[in-house]
Amino acid sequence: MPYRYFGRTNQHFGRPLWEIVMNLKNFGRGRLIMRSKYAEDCPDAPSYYKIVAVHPHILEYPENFKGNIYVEEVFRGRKRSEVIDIGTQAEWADYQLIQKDQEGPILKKVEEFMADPKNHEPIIRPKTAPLPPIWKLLLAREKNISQAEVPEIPIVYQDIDPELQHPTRLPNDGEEPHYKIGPGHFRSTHKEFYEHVIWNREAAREKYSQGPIPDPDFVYVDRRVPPLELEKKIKQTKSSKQLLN
Amino acid sequence: MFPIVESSLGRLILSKKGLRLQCCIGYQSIRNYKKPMWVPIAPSKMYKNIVVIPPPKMEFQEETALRETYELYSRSLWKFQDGISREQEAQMQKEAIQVSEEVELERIFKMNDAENEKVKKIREESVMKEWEEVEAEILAKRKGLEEEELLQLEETEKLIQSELKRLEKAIKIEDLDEVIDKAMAAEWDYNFAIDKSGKVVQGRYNNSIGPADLSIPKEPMITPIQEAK
Repeated sequence: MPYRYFGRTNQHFGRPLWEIVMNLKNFGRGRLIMRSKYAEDCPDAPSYYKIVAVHPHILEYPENFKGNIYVEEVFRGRKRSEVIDIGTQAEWADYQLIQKDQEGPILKKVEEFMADPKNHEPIIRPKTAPLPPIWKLLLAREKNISQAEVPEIPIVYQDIDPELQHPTRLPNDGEEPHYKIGPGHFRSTHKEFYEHVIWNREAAREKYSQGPIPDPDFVYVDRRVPPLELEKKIKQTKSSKQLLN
Repeated sequence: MFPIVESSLGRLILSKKGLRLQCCIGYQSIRNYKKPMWVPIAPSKMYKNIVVIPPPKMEFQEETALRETYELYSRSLWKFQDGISREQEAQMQKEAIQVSEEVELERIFKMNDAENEKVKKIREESVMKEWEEVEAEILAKRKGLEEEELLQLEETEKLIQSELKRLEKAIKIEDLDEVIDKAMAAEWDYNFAIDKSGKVVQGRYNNSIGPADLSIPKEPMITPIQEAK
């Protein structure tokens, strides 16, 4: 009889980390472990954990799988300098053991990733952004200056983990950033979504309307009204016949 | 116990746990709350394969990128506004500390005087306007009273003239003695009969003056018995 699954599907795929670790020799020290979610999200850049030490709380076994699992994290080809504890996340059934045969290519991939200078070139973030137009106008009125003279505001960045993400930096003096934010500066990760979007009113007019621009005061002159079909609607009764004749 | 409301579907019972529908099928519960843990799964929903399809990855990335840029920009705007407001507050505090009490009092008095003058002007104007209105009212009332008085005078004149006309036929003081004599001499005799038609029929042996002077209605008298017929 075939299997029939029911219930909600899970995002994770694999086993809890405790199950893997408890069945390995020496708690699997030095072995690599993969998370299926990360592999799914970004298959090109590999991410894995290398087990450094496992301190299970044996007194609680097997009722509660609790303890500390210290690992070296490599996230999308970038290595974290510190060893972290993932004992709290170990209950999720999302972990897969990497076989010893497959460790070589993965490590090679990471080396290739690190060797590529493209991945180390920092993206230059913008330092300032222009104000919104009405705010700009109000400030210009207050200070009696033109709108072009109103200064830009500084952008307040939150902390970014520089180790595990693509390196970024602020521009030096006289350097222009790679991108800008604020009104008038639209940035998209995928430009395919905006192929059919018409941004400009003039472009829309070119695409959809023909001839010169109509005067809005006399639009009603050229308005086409469908002809009235009275004959169909009127039922011919005695009174209506009399009226028509 | 619970109130019942009639709707297009049927009768709705408003209970503490939500709405219940009372219709021909029976009681159908419309839950607007989460099922508690101890209530078992409904048999109709037991072995179902619920597949939640996540959104496409590209869309997710696009959405997150847009949201992040928006949040960054809005956060920096808020910070900018905070800086401006802090600067303004600091300046206000500085000004408040620098200005001494006397200067401040003088400024306040000046402001008060200016305000008073302004208020005085406004009040005068308003009072003048009010007075004009009151004057107009009084004049109108006066005019009306005068007209009324004139009308009353006319009426009285008319009354006097009519009374005078009436009094022309009245007995004068000169003729009073004659009239009294006549009245004294008059002999009233009620020995006569009256018809239904008002005709006076006198007796054969009485010679009275009275009946001729009696005010007898010209039209014939109508008795209730006659009317009923």
